Amino acid sequence: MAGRRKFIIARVLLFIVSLVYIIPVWMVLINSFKVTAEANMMGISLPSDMVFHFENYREVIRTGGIIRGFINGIIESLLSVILIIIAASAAGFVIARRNSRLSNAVFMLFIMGLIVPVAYIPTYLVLDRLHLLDTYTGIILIFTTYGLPQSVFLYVQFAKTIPRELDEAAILDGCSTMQLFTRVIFPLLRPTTATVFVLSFVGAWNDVMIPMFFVNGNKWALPLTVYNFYGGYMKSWNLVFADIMLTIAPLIVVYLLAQRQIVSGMTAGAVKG
Amino acid sequence: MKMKKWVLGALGLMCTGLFATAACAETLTVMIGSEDSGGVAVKAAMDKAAEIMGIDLEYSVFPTDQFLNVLNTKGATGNLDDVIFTSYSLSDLPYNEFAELSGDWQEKITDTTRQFTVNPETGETVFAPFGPESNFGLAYNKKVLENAGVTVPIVNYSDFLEACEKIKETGVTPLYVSAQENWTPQILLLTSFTTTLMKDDLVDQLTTNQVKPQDVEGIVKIWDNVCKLQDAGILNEDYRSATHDMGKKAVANGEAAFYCVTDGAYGEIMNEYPDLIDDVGLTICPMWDNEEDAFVMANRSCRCLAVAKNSKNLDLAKEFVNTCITEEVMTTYYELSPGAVPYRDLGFSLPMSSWNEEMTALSETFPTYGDWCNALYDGKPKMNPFFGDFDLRVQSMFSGKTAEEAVTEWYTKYAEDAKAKRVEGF
Amino acid sequence: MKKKKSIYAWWLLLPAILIYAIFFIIPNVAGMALGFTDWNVYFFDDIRFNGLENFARLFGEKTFWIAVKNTFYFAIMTVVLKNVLGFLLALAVRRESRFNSYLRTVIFLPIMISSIVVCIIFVSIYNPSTGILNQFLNGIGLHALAKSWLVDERYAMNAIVAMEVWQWAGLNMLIFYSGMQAIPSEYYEAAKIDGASYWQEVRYVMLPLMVQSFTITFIFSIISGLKVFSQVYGTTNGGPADSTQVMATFLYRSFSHGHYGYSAAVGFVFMVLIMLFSAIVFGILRKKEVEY
Repeated sequence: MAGRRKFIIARVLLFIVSLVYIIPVWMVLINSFKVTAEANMMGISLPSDMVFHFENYREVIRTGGIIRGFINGIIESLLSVILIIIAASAAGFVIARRNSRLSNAVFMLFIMGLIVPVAYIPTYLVLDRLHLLDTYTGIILIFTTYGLPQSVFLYVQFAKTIPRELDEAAILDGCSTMQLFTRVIFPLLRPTTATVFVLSFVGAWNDVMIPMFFVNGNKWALPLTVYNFYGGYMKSWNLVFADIMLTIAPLIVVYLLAQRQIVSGMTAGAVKG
Repeated sequence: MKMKKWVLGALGLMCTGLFATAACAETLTVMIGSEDSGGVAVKAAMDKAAEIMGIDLEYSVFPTDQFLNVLNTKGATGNLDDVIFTSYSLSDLPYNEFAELSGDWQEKITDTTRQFTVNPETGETVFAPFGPESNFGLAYNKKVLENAGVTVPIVNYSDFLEACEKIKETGVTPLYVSAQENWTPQILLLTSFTTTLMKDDLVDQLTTNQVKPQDVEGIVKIWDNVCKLQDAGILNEDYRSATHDMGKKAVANGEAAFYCVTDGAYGEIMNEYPDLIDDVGLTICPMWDNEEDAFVMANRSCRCLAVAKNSKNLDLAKEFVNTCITEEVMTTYYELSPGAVPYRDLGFSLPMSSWNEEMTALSETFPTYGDWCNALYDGKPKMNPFFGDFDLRVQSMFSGKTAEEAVTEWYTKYAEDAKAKRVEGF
Repeated sequence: MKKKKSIYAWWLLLPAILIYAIFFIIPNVAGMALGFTDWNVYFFDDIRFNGLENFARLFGEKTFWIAVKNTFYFAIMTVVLKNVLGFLLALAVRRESRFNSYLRTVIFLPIMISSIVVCIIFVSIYNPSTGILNQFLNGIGLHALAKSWLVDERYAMNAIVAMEVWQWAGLNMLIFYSGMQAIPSEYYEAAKIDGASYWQEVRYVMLPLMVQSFTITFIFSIISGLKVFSQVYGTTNGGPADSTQVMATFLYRSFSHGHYGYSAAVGFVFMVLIMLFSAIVFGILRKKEVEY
């Protein structure tokens, strides 16, 4: 009996914990359907007149450049994540296997990237010199750069757990280095690839500072669109919240659809088995 | 093999992305700060102009605290958008990157605003004033004042405190302060500080670093007057966390008697509480001790349009600016946000607000800010480059800093800026 | 040895290194050098060497020391809370059930949201008069606990800590969860036979085997704690009166005023501090990892 009671109390407590996570998102969702005056009160009840004002979304989509922001986000995040995965997995594999002073130094350089704050203006000038300012190529390369340290770190951690005997067996079977990597090692790194994909994609999708400096407004992704509505003089919280919903919805939908794969991939990738 | 497909697909996507943006012709890009774009009037008016010309506008809306930095960085490397809408003054901006503008409107700019539109090095007009000339002051609720038997204008600090006591007796909050946002508390000083600065050659001494503001008794005193408002028991209790939205509401519906604002608040109250706007007036903000220091804060239009010299659509952008200063567009703007138009004889009339009229009437009794500047410094905005996070410094007094600490920090900050700008003496 | 080297061709490193060198190493090395100049936005093309002036100015600024103190406070608080909460949550959700999978999904969800957006959401939650937090506290009669969260310097920093923990505890939970999954069930069974209680099982079976998970969560949470930026920028932006200033917002302020040379110097000092702190912590962690 005592065990049963404990179990129920634990469940109730955990359910309350989950509410702490759900209520903020619910608050955003429900207020995005209200008229301005009511949304500014930020309650969590249904609209008082029981009318859901979908026109808030129409207004945000019309004036906020949402569709363009969505396309930009997909282009920039997806392409940079692909580059990150290619570059970081290859680098991570070599660093994990070669135990030379040079490869350790390279690894330390990448670790530094986790620590050093972004030098915006010098980076801006590099892009300017290369004529990459305000181009998709430029911002994708920058996102790639800032995704690399974390991803290399994760790949190195995981690649160390793959037995070296596999490499030798593959080489004896006549694999070239390239084939060894693409056919044998890369598939085995899949859990880390899932982790890197999620963390880097989310990182690029949600970044605001990098696009703000390195590209013009027509190449901005969704998060920056909130400033169309989140000004200082007047706040229409219903529009702010509608914009926030549109900004986070794509990731949340993908997450809910693929959460089993993401969670299992993430977890397997983060820690060795 | 799979990977190759991915890469090819990715490259394909990248190319379509690039072409998709290249294909759109007849589009102007516009840089704007989020504070400004939040106001309905500006965007509505610019959209109107675009509609007349049959072109598209693409806005880059920047978070306000980053706008100036981005403008200057992009300016320094010649990467500005086609059109820039800003409320900053030229001295803070990369004005040499702005194209010369010309149109019928150019000759008609009022004297108050004109010198703020000209590139100080070349004399070219680079700013087209768009928004109204500004009136800052103390918004007041007419019914509340009547009820308490208080009349405006109030001409000095001690009279003001006395009036507040009377209002307090009627159960209404005398003065509303909204210190959560950094830009609102500073208006208390912006509307009352000028005459203190303009004494003798104080500005010359400050701008050459011969005198520090914390050593000038008058300066510390007037900051202290603002700081002491907290101890007088006349503020709303939540003044630290209150917002501008709450302040407008309080003064409109009579929860508070006074609230310090820019004249932009008129349009906002008008749109949000149309029934209440006639209850709200605007008067001078007497933080000074001496009646002789009274003045009306009436200043240049600080919402202007500029065009980037390097714009690929230079002619179109210039035409856009000229289209903005026409009857149809200006009417759109001023109907949503009425104010004193920064032009003479445009050939059409635009809605002014009752606030502007009230302040104009006051300026017959009291000198205006412009008069002070003109009399002493040919109207040159000498103190403009010495902003030094003025807003944050004033706000910090409402979070426990003393006036002296706040003034000292103001000096430290503006001295750092002046040094960066290589101003002599710093 | 020589034979092995030939398998792991160095050119596989090239793509990563090239991109990284051009867009990270070059700008940052240049940036560090610029820390010794007066480079600023007003004289963009006319840079003057000014020796150690920037550093002298930095160490003389009271706000800088406030920022250092706050950053370490934030980092320590979030590292502890994220790891403790993450671990407890992982314990709670580790068995497979529908309810637990719901919990895992929900708790991991905030990681998907841009931190700037999380800030905007929490600014409204923390609003003293209209925010749901105070409305809830007032609603259940706890008026005394309803504070001016983000505007009162006594609570602002902790309010931001709570927000950060809300958003990121889920990541640690997931990492711990997978660490727990990886422990073979025989270990638990052996402990059961020995008559170990639940908490003894956690302490003597689970914890020692999860050092690797802790290393990763520690590294991620320490670095993200010390580099905290958007969480402060989006809520208080260092206010009220600089009481919540952290190193990154301090850096950002000098940068957004266009004082690039100075901000490069700030960034440099900032980096050295983080490296020192991380080195100490990682040293301790590595020792632990060896012990077990």
